[in-house]
Amino acid sequence: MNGLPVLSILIFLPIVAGVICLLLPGKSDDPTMPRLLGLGASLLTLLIAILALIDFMPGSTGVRLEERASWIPQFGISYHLGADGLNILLIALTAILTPPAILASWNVLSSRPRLFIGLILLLEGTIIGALSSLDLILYFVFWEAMLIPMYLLISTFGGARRGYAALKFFIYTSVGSLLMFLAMLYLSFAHSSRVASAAPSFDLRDLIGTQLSTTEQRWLFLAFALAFAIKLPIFPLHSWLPDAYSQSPVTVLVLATMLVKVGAYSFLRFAIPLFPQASSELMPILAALATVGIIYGGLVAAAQRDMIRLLAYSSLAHLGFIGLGIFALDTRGAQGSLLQMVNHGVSSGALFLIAGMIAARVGTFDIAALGGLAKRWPILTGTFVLAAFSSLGLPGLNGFVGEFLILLGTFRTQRVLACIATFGVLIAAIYVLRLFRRTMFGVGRGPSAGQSLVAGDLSPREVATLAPLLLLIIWIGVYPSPFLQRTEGAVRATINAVQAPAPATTALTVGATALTITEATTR
Amino acid sequence: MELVWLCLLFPLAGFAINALFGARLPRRAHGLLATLAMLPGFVVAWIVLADLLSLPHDARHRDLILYNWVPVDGFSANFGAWLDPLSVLLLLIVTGVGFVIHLFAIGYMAEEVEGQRRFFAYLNLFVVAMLVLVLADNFMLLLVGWGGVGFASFALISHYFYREEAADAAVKAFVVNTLGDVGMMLGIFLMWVTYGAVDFETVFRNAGNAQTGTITAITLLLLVGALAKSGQVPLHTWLPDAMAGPTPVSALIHAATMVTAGVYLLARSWPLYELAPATLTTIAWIGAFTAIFGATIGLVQTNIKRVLAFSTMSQLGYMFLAAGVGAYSAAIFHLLTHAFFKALLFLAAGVVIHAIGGEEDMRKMGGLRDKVRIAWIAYGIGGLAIAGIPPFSGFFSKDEIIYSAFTSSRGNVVLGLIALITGGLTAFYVFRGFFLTFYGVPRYEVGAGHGDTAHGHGHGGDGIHQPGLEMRIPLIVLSVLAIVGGWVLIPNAVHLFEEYLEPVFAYPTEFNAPVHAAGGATYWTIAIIAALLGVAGIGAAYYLYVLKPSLAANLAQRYAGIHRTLFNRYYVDQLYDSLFVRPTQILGRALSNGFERVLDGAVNGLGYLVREASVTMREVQTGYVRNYALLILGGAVLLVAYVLFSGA
Amino acid sequence: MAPLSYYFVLSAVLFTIGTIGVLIRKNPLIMFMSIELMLNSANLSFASFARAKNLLSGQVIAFFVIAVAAAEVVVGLAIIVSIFRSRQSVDVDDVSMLKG
Repeated sequence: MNGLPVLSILIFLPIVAGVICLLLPGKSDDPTMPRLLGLGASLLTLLIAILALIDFMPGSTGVRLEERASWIPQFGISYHLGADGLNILLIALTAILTPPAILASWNVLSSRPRLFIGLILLLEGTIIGALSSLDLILYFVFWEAMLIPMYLLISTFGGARRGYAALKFFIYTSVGSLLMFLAMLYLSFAHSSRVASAAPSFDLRDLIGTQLSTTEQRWLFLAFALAFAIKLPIFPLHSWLPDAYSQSPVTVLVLATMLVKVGAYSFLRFAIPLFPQASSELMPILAALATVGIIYGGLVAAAQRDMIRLLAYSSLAHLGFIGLGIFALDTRGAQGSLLQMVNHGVSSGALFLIAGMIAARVGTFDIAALGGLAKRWPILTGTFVLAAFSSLGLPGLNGFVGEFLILLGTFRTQRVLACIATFGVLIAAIYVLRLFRRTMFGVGRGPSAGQSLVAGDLSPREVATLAPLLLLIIWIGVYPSPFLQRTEGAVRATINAVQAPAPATTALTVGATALTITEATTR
Repeated sequence: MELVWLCLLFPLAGFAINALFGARLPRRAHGLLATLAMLPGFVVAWIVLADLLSLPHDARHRDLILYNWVPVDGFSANFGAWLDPLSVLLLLIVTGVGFVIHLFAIGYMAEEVEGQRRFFAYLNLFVVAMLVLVLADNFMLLLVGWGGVGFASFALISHYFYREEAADAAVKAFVVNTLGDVGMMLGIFLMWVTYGAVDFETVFRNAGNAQTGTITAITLLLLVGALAKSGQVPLHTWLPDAMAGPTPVSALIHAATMVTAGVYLLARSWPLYELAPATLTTIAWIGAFTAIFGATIGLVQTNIKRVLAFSTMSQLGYMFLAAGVGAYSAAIFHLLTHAFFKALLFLAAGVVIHAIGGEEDMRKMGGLRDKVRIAWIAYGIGGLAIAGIPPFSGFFSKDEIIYSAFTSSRGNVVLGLIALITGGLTAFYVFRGFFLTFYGVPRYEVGAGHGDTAHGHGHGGDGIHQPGLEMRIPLIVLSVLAIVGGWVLIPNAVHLFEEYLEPVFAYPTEFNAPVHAAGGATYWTIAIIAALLGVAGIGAAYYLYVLKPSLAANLAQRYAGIHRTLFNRYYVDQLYDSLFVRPTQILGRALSNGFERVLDGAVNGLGYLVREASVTMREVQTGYVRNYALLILGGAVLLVAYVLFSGA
Repeated sequence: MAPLSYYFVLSAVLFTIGTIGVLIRKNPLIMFMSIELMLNSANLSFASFARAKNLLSGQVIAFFVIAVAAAEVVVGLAIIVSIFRSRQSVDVDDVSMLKG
C-alpha cells in the first residue's frame, strides 16, 4: 500500500464515479448502469478502505498514509491528508456504509437513478475528504461540500416537506460554519503574525500550539464548537435533525449518520488540539448539554409516532453519548466515543434500513398504524431484534462496549453527569422497545394486516444489505479490541495534551498498586 | 478445566444452527438439537468439578482467560472464567436443570407449528448468557451475562408475541431489568474509580482499601441490579407478568436460574458486602419483606403459574434474607434446592396446563389427580419440599436460613419470625394450588381454547393430553432431586455442602466470611417448629379447599377488602403506573409537542426575521433602469463629494 | 487657443445633458445616445488635458473609450433588438422584470 495516495483514491474514486454517474448517457430512468457503477465504485472503495484499515498498525500514534501537496502557497493552503487513530475507523465505516445505502435503494428509485446514485457517491467522497483533511481550508471545503449532495438528495427525493427540510438543514448547518471559517482565518493570521519566522499556513500541524491569549482561545474555540455542535447536533441546536431525517429518502440515512459524526470527530481533531486551555475550561458546559441531549432526546423519542422521527431523536440521544465521551476529556471516554461513532453508524444505520424495508412493505412509517409484523416476516424480525438491542446497548453487543467506556470515562471526570447520563440507557430501552413492540408484536391491524407492497420476507438482496452491519454489531460487541487498539494511541495523545480536570488520584493509585500486587502474586 | 469453554460452545452452536439454518430442519429437529446441545455442557461441568476437587482445598480457584475483551488505557476486562466451587455449582445447576427442562420442552412445545425454532434457539441462547453470567471473572463480563439473560428472558416471555399481555410483559421485564443494569453500571464505575479494576480478584483482594461509605455506595448500586433480576421489592413487578411465557421458560428462567442471579451476585461479591453492614441490613430486610409480601399475595391468586411466580419471589426473598444476615452458603444452598423443587412445580403445572389444553386458571381445574397422576405426584413432592417438610430438600435449606436469621450476629428475632411465618404461608398457598388443581370436582373443559400448546398426541379416551416420555423423565429426575437434594447438608450429620463452598468464602481476601455451622438444640427446635408450621399450613389448605370448599369463598367475601388488595398485589403496579410510567409519557409528549416546538420556532423565527427583512429591502429593486441610473448617479456624486471635501 | 476651462465647461455641460437624458428618456436608443454623449464629454476632457500638458496618454485613453463605447453599443443594440422581438416594444419602463 505504501507509496500509493490511498486517501486521495478513497476520496476521489467515489467522487469521480459519482460525476460519471451523473453524466451517463442513455435513458434517464434506466437504473441498470448507475446501479452497477455505484455498487462497483463503492465496493472498490470499501476494499481499499479495508486494506488501509488492516494495514494500519494498532497502537501507533503517528499519522499514516500522509499526502501533502501545495495548493495555494501564497496563503499557505495545502492539500494535506492523513490517517491516524482518530479517523481511520470512521473512514473505513463510511466506505462500509455506502454499499448498503446503494443496495437498499436498488428498487426504491423509480425516477432519476443516475442522480440518486451519483449523489450518494459524491456524499461518500466528500465525507471521507472531511474526515481525512489535515489542512483547515481543505477540511472546510469538504465540510461544506458534504452539504451539497445531502441537500440535493433531500430536496429531490425526499418526503412531502422536503423543500422546507432541505433548506433548513442547509442553512442551519452552514450558518454555524461561517463563524468557524472566520476563526480559521483569524487563527492563521495569528500564527503567521506572532511567530517571526512563520510562513502563512492553514496546516493543522503548524497551527497547533499557536500562542493565543485566553480570551482569544475562548472565542475561537466557541466558533469552532458552534459549527461542530450544530452538526453533531448537541441540544438545543438539533432542530434541523428530525426534519432532515424524516424528509430525506430513508436509504440515504445510513450515510447521513456519518455526516453528523464528522461533527463529533472534528472536536477531537481540531477543537481540542488547537485550543487545549479553552477546551478544558468550556468542555463541562458542553458535557452538560450533551447529557441533557441524552435524556431529552430519549424522552422525546419515546413520544414519537413516526418511526423515522423516533430514530432521529434516538440519534440525538446517541450522539449525546458520543459527545459526552469526548467532552469528559478522559481517554476511556474518548475511545468509547470513537467506538460509539462506529456503533451508531452501524446500529442506527441498520435501524433506518429496516424501517425503510418495513415501510416498503406496509407503505407507512406510522407506528400507531402497525402491529404484529413478527408473525409475517420472521427474518425481518430477527434483523430488527439484533439492531434494536444493539441500539439500546444490550451487553454483549457493540453499543454496550461504547456506552460503557463513555460512561466509565465520564464517571471519572464528571461524576454527576455520568450518573444522569446512565439513565439514558434506561430511556433507550423504553423507546426502542416501544418501537419494536408496537410494530412487531401484538395483533396485525391496519396496513400491517393488509396486502404487502413487496412480496414476502426479506429478499436475498435485503439480507445482503443488512448482513455486514449485523456482523459488525456482533463482532464489536464480542471482540472490540482490534478497533480499540487502533484508536488508543491517537486518543491518548489528544486527550493528554489537555489539562483534564483533576481526577480522583488517590483512588487511582490504590488501584494501580493493587494491580501490581495482583500481578505479582498470581504469576 | 479449560474444557469449561465447551459448556458455552455447544449451546451457542445450537443457537446458531437453529437461528441460521433452522428453516431447513424438520420441525421436531429444533428441540432435539437444542437439547443435545445441552448434554455435553452438563458432562463437562462434572469434569470441571472433578478437576476442581482434585486441587488442594485452599487453592480451589482458577481464572481462565480466553482473551482480553476490552483493553483500553487504564481499564481492562478479560473474557475469562472464574472457576471456584460457587461458579461450578451454578454451572452444574444451569446445565443440569437446563438440560432436563429442554427435554421437557420438546414434549411441551411439540405441536407448536411456527415458533419452535425460535423458542429453542432462544432457550439455548439463554443458557449461554446464564453461563457467561456465572463464569465471568469480572464485573463487566458479568454484566454481559446479566444483560444477555435479560434479553433471552424478553425474547421468551414474548414467545406468544401476538398476545398483547405477553408483549407487554416482555417489555416490562426488560425495562425493569435495565433499571437494574443502570444501577449495576454505576456500581461498576464507582468500583473502577475506587479500586482501579473491575475483575473479581483485584477488587475483592483490595476490598478493604476504601472507605466504608464508598463500599456501601458500590454495594447498594450493585444491589439495585440484584433486586431487579431477582424480583425483589420494589423491583418485583415484572416477575408475575413474566409468566406469560411458555411454562418451560417460567421453570428454567423465572424459577431455577436467571432470577437467582441476584443471589449469586451477592454471594459472589461477599467481600464487598461484608464491609458494608448497612447494605447487608438493607438486604436482610428487603429479603424478609419480599418473602412475606410474595407469600401473602400468593394466598389468593387464581392462576396456577402466578401462584408459583409469587412463591418464587418469596423464596428468593429467603435467599436475600440469608445473604443479608451473612449466611451466604445458606443462601446458595436454598438456591440449589429451590432450583430443583421450583422447576419441578412449574413443570408439573406445565403438564397440567398441557393436559387440559392451555388453561391456567385454577378455578377451571380440579379433580385432576387420577387424570394426570404423574403431575399429581410431582406437584406433591415439589409442594412438600417447598413447604419444608422433612426429609424433603426444602426442609434443610429453609431451616438453615431461618436459623441464621434468628442467630446470626446480623440477624434478629423479627427477621426470624418473618421467615418462620412465611414458611407456614408458603405451605398453605402451595397446597391450596395443589388441592384446587388435583382434588374436588372437575371444573375444566377438555378441548377448550388451545392456547400455547397444541394437541394431537397421547390423548386418552377422556380428551386429556397425557405427557410423553420426554416430559415424564424430567419430572422423575427433578422429583428425586427435590427429595434428596437437601441431604448434602444435614446439620450434625452431613456437612458436604458447607465444606464444598468453604473455599469460596475464604478467598480471595485475607478475612473469611462467617460460615455458620448450624446444629445443636436451637437449630433443631427451630426446625421442628418450622416443619410443624408447614404441616399446619398444609392442613389448613386441606380443610379450606377439600373439606369445606364453601368456607374459602365465605372468607374471601367477608374480608373482601383484604382479598382484593392481595389479589391486586397491593396495587403496586397501579402505583408505579401513575407514579413513573404515566408522568414519563406525559413528560415525553409535553417535550415533544411543547418545548420541541419552541426550539423549532426559535430557529424558524430567526429564518422568518431574515426573510421579512429581505422582503422589505427588495422594494429597492424596482426593475426600472432609470431608478438604477439615478442611484448610480447619486453614488457617483457622493463619491466625488467625498473626494472633494474629505480634506485631501 | 481658448483657455482650458472653456473645454471643461463644455465637457461638464455635455455630461449633464447626457445624464439627464439617461434619466428621463424612455426610449433606449435615446438613452444610448445620451450615454455616448457622456462618454464623449469625458473624451473631450481627456483630449484637452492631453493637449495642454503635451501628454499622449490622455489621447490614448480617449481611443480606448471610443472602442469601449463601440463595443457597448453593439451589445446594447443586440439586447434592444431581441427585447423588441419578444415584446414588440422598446420602452424601458415595460422591461421591469427584475423587480424584486
